[in-house]
Amino acid sequence: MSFQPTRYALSVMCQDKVGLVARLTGAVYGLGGNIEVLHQGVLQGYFVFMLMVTFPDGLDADGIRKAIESAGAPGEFVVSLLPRQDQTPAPAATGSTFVLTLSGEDSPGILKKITAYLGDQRINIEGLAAETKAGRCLITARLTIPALVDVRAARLDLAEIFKQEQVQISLMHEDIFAATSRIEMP
Amino acid sequence: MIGSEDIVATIRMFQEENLDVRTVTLGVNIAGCVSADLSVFCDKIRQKISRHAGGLVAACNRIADRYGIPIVNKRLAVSPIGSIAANLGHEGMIQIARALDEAAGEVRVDLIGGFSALVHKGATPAEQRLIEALPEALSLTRRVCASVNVASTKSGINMDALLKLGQVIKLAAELSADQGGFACAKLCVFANIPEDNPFMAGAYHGFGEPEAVINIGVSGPGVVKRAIERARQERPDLDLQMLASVIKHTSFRVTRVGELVGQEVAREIGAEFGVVDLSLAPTPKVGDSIGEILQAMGIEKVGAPGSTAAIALLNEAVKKGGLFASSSVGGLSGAFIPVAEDSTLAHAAEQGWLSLEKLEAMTSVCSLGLDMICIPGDTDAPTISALMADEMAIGMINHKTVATRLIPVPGKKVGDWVHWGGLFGSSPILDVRAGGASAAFVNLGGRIPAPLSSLRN
Repeated sequence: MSFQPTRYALSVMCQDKVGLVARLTGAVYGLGGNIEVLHQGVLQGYFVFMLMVTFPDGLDADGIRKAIESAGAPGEFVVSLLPRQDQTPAPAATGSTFVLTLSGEDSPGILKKITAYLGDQRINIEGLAAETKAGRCLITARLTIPALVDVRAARLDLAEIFKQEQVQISLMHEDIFAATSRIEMP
Repeated sequence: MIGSEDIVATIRMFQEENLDVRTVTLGVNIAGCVSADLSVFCDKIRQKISRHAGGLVAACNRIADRYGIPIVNKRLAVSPIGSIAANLGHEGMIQIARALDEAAGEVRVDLIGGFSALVHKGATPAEQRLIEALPEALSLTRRVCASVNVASTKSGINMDALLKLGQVIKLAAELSADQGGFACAKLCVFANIPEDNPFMAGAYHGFGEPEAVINIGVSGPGVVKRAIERARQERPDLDLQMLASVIKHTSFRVTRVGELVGQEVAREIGAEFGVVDLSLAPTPKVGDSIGEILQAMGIEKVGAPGSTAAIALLNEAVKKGGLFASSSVGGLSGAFIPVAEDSTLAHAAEQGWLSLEKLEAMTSVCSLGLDMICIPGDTDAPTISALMADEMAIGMINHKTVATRLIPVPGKKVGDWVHWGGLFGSSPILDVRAGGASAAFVNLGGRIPAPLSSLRN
């Protein structure tokens, strides 16, 4: 009988403390799971852990959740699981990679405005980070912009959308940041 | 992965600190256009420029849009006319200048360089005719820029050429008197002229260059100034070594932007990529000034004692950072101190802090020379020649490229101002001390012999 892996996208959130990654990766290992991709961060004291994992056949989502939760104290972890397709899906968008940044006075709705515009233009967000400090915000987003989108017009649109706000917004090709921040080896 | 701090630092350079690509200059070999028939010669020049440069402006605009980087000037440099146009008389030289001007206009570039003569060891008849034609050619055309290389470390200083150029500059100023002698702002007199300089007025397409080549000039005085200011605010213990490191780091980023844009433009128009010129080129805009950098470094009044040391530090740090960033560095690559094009320098000159002599001292450790210097309109030709000779001597002895752009502004006296606007800016008229006292020396003519250090084999 052939081995039938079960693929999941798994996320865990909890209050941050030392040793969490060891406990969680230990739980995955205990289930025979293999971590393919991992992303971990701490947001204002909260631990956010996202994994792409392959488990041996026969494990269902409920069983995995319970096993992961048991690595913590009762109620300590919030665990979510999403079954993944056997094949990695095609990218949601194709095109050139740009970096959008917005900085300035923080106000509710900034992210909504940006993301609504990007969605309307069929621009995919590949990565997004936002932070606020002393009433000021900094948003950086890595975008895939399809070839049909007029980037110059997009810059003007974004400037228009935020003309009433005390923010600066820029949309620049990723190559600029690569060029100014690193030297490629030949 | 690029960190958000790096992203923010890069964006700040463009949004707040005036970083731009100052010039994308396409060098084109036009030696093959030469014909005994002047009209054929002119037609061939137009055709060749159209063929190679027809897509330059559109490509620059596309790349500027794609990357969100302003490209301020698109320019052309052609083979030195004095070296290729052997058969042309005076009128022919003027016609060639007009053809260059028209060709540049047709492809919508800002300026075209290469109305040039290389006479450091002596002038051919054609080069002599080109020099004679300069006043007319520069005052009758809008985009044509000229350069004359009168000195080199290897050959010494051609004083006969300098003597002639003193008269030429006077005449060029008079012919463009209604524009404040502006024709002189389009003429650079050089020692050790480079073949790949993208900046005007001194760009030409050297004989060692490929058929068509893109050279880039990036400008970042504002970026360097803000980096220094931030470092001084954040690091109370900042010393000059640390300051040099801050400048090197900034220069690295600026140079990388230039190389990226240059490679892309070259690819799009099918030319080779040549060099990034690391020069810090100021503009009259506040926040884009070499003078402001010196102030940020702690020289309150530009021209005060310490100014030469400060600009030496700046110049060396810029070069070191740029050289690490790119394997294709060339051109002039130094900090420019063109008085008219830098409002802080112009102000310092007005206040009397920055004299012609101090500028000359500073040019011995930076680029480029007595550049965009406005002097009284009644300055006599031998004095202008002598001023140029002093600067050429600095270049000759120190194995260094230097140049002068001297403008004897008709009708203006010391302390008056001349205003050109745009990138050429405005300037007070500087005092030429002991003017009129050098004629006997420069009139000796001949050649100042090459220095001992020219013999390196």
